[in-house]
Amino acid sequence: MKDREDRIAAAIAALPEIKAPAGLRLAVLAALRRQEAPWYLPALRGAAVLLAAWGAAVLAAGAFWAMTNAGELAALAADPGSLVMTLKAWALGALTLLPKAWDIAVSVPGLLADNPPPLTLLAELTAAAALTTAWLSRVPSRDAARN
Amino acid sequence: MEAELIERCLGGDENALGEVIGLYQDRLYAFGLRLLKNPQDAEDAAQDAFVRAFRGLASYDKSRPFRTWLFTIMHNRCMDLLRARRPDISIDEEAGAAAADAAASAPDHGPLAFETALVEKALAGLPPIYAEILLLQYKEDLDGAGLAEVLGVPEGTVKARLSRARAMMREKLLQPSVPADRITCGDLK
Repeated sequence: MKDREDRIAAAIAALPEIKAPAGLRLAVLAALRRQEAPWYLPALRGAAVLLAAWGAAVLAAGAFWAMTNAGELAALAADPGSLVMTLKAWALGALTLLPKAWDIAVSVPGLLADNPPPLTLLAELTAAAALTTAWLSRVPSRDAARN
Repeated sequence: MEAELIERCLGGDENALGEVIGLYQDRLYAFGLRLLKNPQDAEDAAQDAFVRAFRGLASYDKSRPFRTWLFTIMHNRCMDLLRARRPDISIDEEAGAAAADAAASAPDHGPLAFETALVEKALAGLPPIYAEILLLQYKEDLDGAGLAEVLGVPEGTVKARLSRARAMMREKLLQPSVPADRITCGDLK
């Protein structure tokens, strides 16, 4: 009787190992991360996407403006008085806007990969809104400077 | 070593979580596959067991083996899945085709491998509560107290269930459908 039990035990113990699917570990870790994510994560991700779109739009607009106004820029460079006035009127705004747009365009993919920190996002959104408003407020001055 | 890993898990160390998963994923998945007889269900059950274990790690009693705790969660998950299955889906008839397939794809060790396939099939033909107690005792090497903890029953029930499981296993191995000349443990009778 004991011998029979031993044989059954040995037979079961000798059953082959079965490999778990390769993706199991990653699936568990991903599930744990999902469960740890805050309920407002979709809103944070939406804000990050908005920031990325803003950064890309500003950079694209800056590049477009530079291409279409290359002649005007060259003329301004030949007239230091006009150049100074123009810089005062609007270029300083652009000079702060464009680096910020570049900074955001570069950093947002990293924010999207992890859980975006709410405070960082809020600060970036505020900065983007303030810079955009400031730049837009200088547009009439640019026209005035041109005339 | 394991206690240190668990401590790191409690501290939120994702690398430690990965190491613990690596230590147990094959055993948990194999246990689930032999019980549920479906690779997708086994993977889902193992994933769910790990997630529940890690989410509830703060309530884990460190004086008990982590393995017992993990298998308790896996047992509960498997039983939930088995109960949720529709009654017209037979878990006996299909005779653990998935587990038998997995055994067939294991490295060939000559006659022993063939015997193993028969044992796998016989085990798969048992009702789940008997199959799991045999697997937990002989494959996972749990003792009576460990079995009682995992299965959530008194040790007396464990002994009775184990005895019944062994008897059923003998019957399965000696069924006429199993060619007598293939049973290398044929002198069980």
